[in-house]
Amino acid sequence: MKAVFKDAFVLFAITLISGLLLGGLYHVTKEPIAREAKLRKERAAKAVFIEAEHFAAKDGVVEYSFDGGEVEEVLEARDAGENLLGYVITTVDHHGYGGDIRLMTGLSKDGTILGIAFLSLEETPGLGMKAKEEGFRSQFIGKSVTSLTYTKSGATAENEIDAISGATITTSSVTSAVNGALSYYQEVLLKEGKE
Amino acid sequence: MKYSMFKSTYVERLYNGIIRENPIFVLTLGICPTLAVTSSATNGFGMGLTTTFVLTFSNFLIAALRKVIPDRVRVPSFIVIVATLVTAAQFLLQAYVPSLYESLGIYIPLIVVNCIILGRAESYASKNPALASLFDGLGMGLGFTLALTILGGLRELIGAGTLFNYPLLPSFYQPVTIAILAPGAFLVLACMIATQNYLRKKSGKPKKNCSCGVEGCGLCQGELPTRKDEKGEKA
Amino acid sequence: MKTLLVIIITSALVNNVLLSQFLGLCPFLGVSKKSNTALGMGMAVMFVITISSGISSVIYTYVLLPWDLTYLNTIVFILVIASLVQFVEMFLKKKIPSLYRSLGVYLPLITTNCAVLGVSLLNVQKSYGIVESIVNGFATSLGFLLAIMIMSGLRERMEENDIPESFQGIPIVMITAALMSIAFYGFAGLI
Repeated sequence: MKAVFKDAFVLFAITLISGLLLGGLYHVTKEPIAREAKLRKERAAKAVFIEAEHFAAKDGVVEYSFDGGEVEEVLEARDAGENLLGYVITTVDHHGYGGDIRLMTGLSKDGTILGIAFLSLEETPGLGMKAKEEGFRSQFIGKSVTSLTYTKSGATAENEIDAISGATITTSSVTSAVNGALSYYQEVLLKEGKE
Repeated sequence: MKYSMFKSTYVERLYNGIIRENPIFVLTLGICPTLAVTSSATNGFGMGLTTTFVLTFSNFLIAALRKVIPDRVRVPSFIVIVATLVTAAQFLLQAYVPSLYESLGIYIPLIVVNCIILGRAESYASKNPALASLFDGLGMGLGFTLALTILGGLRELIGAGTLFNYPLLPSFYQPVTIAILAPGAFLVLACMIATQNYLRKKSGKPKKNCSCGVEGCGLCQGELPTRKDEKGEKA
Repeated sequence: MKTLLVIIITSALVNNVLLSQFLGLCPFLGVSKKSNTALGMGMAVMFVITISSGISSVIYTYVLLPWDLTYLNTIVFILVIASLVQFVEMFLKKKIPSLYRSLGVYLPLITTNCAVLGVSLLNVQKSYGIVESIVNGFATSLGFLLAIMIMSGLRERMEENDIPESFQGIPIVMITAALMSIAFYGFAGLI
């Protein structure tokens, strides 16, 4: 019986010490992890809205979900003189091949897409991961439409995007996330401006 | 005299882990992360180093505590120590090497159940002094890193035409994408092990028997632990 | 209901735990020589994964999340799994000896099966609720059973074949797995 208590005690002590040490390390690394996340976000926002001088969280963001995901964050892109240039909208779509796809879409004040950047993308290397490549992302730039579709037979119309070959699910999910940002712009941001 | 003897143990441990008992090519331990993360040389290398970090310290700590830990709660204690180190590695990567953290994803916490780590804990660290165990872990970890980097490099080269993200093959080379997809992982590793079997046979060395340290690895040529073994384990 | 169905198809077939996620390969390569042992292993894995994904999900939702301890999930899950396996073994031995006789030998092998921990972690990563986690655990392990049964059937047939010496053993099993993995890609069309 005594041996059982000793065993339990040693195991408990090891677990307790481990837990305490981890708690300590968690607090030490919390700061740099948060800083890194913020930095990544800023870098992504800058990449989709090159002209903006700085970004500010938009006041009064309403909850908005679209087919497949939600809008997570809306930033206002401003120039040095605090003038509003456009928006950076973060959307997440839950139907990626490897998990959620989270991306930022830069939209000018008139609703033209200025660029997209991924915050999380866990697709298959060599197929879905090609979404990160310039060749795919740049297709979105300059489009000024209400919603986008993808095609496998060569994009011709203004609202068409060439699918990544072998990664239709990824393409559809990315398109859906961008469409989410576009419809938020039309249904919420535009209406706000008119009031 | 004594110093040089000690020193040779450590060097021997390193050599053993990297070449003679290379965890992947010779022992075929820890296959899951090996196949999953080696879609590029960078990922393989990063995974290898993370595992080396965990393995080195877990071996050291377990060997240092081997007289304190009662035999009956040995395995759970090892698991707690390993899990703690893995979580620590996870925090550090997230804070200082976020890009690697992103690409390795769920396979970082899964280092806990990597057979190599518990295997070394059982078969070496729980019976040997701390410093020798540290070198054993380092050697095994580096051997693992080497294997992962080679595998990742080959897959990346065939599947994308690059190595560590630098384009290496001429532009007319059409990448064979399957090499970086799931089936390619199996194919490339199968060919690598077969090549090694061939070389070993040619040089006349006998095929090594799997010296799997921990029950549960299940790779020992399909042998299941017998009832008797299992009782021995619990006693 | 539709979400659950998608989870089942995705986890069991499209993202097969062995052939596309590479979790739980050790038993897949090691215990797939004969179909009856493969069946035993597969059933034991199903049993443990389904229960453990439920328990870890409950602990995550009601303990780790409210107390802001989510960073401890790896260590908590692995302890849950290790003690669950021990408990299941004791329970079966006492209460259902017939089931214990058929699954018992495989149970100790399961703690270090990375599929078990992998499923618990993936459930958290995909922010599944408790029901979804259990369904996902069940479907994932169903995929495991399916793949290991097919593999053992193939290996029994291959026994008689003339395989180049260097490829005997692990290499040929991996080549077979590669072909199965390619075949499973076809399921992607289902979702």
